[in-house]
Amino acid sequence: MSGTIDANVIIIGSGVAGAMTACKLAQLGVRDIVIVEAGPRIDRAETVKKFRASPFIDSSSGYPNPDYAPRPDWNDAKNPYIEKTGPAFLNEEYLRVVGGTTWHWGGCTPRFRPVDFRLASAYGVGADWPVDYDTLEPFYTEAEEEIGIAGEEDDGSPRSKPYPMARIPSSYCDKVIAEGLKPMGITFNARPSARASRPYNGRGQCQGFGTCSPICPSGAQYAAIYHVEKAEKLGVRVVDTTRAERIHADGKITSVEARKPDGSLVTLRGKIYVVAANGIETPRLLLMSAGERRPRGIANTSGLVGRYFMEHPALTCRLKMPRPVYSSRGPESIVTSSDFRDGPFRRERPSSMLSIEHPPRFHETADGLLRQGLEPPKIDADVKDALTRMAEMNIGIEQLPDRQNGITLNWDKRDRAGQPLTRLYYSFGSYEQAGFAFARDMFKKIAASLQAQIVSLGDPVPQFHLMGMTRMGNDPKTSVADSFGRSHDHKNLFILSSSLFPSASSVNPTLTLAALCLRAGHEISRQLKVGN
Amino acid sequence: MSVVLAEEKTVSLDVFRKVSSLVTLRDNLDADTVSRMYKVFLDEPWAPDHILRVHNKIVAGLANGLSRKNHLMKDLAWKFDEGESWFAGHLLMTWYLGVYYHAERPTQRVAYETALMFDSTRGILPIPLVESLGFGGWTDAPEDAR
Ligand SMILES: Cc1cc2nc3c(=O)[nH]c(=O)nc-3n(C[C@H](O)[C@H](O)[C@H](O)COP(=O)(O)OP(=O)(O)OC[C@H]3O[C@@H](n4cnc5c(N)ncnc54)[C@H](O)[C@@H]3O)c2cc1C
Repeated sequence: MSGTIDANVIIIGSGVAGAMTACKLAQLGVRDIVIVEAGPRIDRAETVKKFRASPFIDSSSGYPNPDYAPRPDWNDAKNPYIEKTGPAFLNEEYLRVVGGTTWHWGGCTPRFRPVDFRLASAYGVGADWPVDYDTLEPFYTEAEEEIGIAGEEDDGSPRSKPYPMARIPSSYCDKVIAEGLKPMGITFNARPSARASRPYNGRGQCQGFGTCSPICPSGAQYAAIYHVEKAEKLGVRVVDTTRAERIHADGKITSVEARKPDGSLVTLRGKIYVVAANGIETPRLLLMSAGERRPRGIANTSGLVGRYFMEHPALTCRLKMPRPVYSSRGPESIVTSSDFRDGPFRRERPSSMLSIEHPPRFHETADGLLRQGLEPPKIDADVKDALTRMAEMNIGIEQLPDRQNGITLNWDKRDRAGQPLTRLYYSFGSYEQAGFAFARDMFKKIAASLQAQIVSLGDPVPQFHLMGMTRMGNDPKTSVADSFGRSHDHKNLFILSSSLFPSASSVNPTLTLAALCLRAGHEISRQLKVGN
Repeated sequence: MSVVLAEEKTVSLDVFRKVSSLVTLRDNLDADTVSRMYKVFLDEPWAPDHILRVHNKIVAGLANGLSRKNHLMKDLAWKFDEGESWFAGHLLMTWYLGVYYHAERPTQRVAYETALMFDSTRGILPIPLVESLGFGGWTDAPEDAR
């Protein structure tokens, strides 16, 4: 099938950003919206089956990874989808399917705090946002209702309305740890999460499968497929298995070229274009659209597309508790401590977020004991002892924007779809190193307070939060887009991705992204009414 | 238990079940999983020989009064050679993890909820993707009578 699709609004990507924006636009009365999505449609029950049939225990192996819409795959180390350069470890992960990456996210959805939007002004590091907390607050509230979030108190982010659902109750393990850390003065709050604590918008109550990532078998956890289906009911057309390859511009954006699995081309033309293809594929697509007139790519007069990549690198500590705490009972993460999120220390070291995590660790545990030469009946007793006494905690930190961290394209090497490979440079500065040192020290104190033994305390790992590479700002020289995500270069192009974030905070990004999308929806609708 | 001739080129499902049962110290292995694993193991050219050798040594050992409860690999009474020892470990790992690691071919899943790594925490920790606790069922410690 080749051909042309004409619409009012063309949205690239059906993840939470694309799908929620489409719904918002349709609700605001915008007609003729098309979402073009690289990946295929998938079914929840089938995906659960695929995970059970997969020999791997990562969070992607049950999802498709077709040649026409390839993605990172940890299990194929020989053919990296993203070329890593730079000294710091990074194994990124995202999905390319209808509904995007929230199929396998952790569903943790805190708000930023007001000060997170003015890091540079408050602490002299990082960057300020072109939008403040108060402006975004109503959209946070709306996003929480759209996604369906269970939470409790405001945790330093003032709220105009309570959470739509009561919090998810703490697990036994959470309670034991919270009690054990009281002498240290550490306090825990309910972690806002996109898991239903009561029936909500067609989703049932969380059943505690404990496999929030890779997939919630019951569908109690939000995934953007909810908004894809809602958008379709509102008349939005979702064109799947169609990968955008190139954006054309003539001052304004004029068309998008996309490719079907059979190799045929589809041309998409609209009045407004939204790129919502995630924090890496979005800048990649803009860079891939370079041509004679725009050698740096689309929306890239500033030269900043693909720069200032940020993650929330985290240290994970596994503890052996003095008695069983039954960690893997319940959702993957229910409480966090915000005690280290903010303070004058942010001039020298990052904001950090401490969380208790409950991922099931059967395979790693049994594998480790077998490799030590254990056999039945001892191994059975030891597996039980290790798993029931295991506790896992995470400290994720705020990474500063650093211009050298980011992507370029390697035109000499191609991915399975024939596109230039993404080359990603990643490093940590002294600010992040100070955060890791703080985290290591904190875990030692925590272990002592809990009378627990540290089983492992590894190097920083990514949390798959892809921020910064199309940063927003007021000055076109130092940013790619304005506070609505509108490209400074092309007024009919909106970039809606966590790649807009000029700074990272230490908390999960997706709720803030959703709030930005809802706000941008109003602006897109307004712009369509007045004409581009 | 009778000794099977090691020269045989193939091995029966029954012998595979027996050797699995001896290595894992379990009499109640899931029948479907046994059949699936049998097929995967028999795909290996060396499998029948190793299965028979390990089977025969354990059977002989038991006939000589060794206890079924003994640790298999550490108990030199079975007199495993290096290859037999490796095979017994490989079989044990496959049963525990439900994953068959192969040197040349892709790694394969052969069992999910019947993998033995779940045995000792059954009823205490839910099997991922299969079992759930019901809303709030995680707030208290489980009854852990074992
Ligand atoms: C394991 C894991 C756990 C996570 N946990 C959390 C969490 O607890 N909390 C949190 O806030 N965030 C979490 N995240 C991050 C979260 O998933 C992302 O922030 C979120 O999915 C971003 O939404 P998006 O719509 O921008 O991108 P995506 O959800 O990735 O969707 C982008 C879509 O665009 C499509 N696309 C890409 N390229 C093209 C193209 N060229 N043409 C057409 N379509 C294209 C993709 O196929 C995809 O469907 C997690 C991520 C991972 C991987």
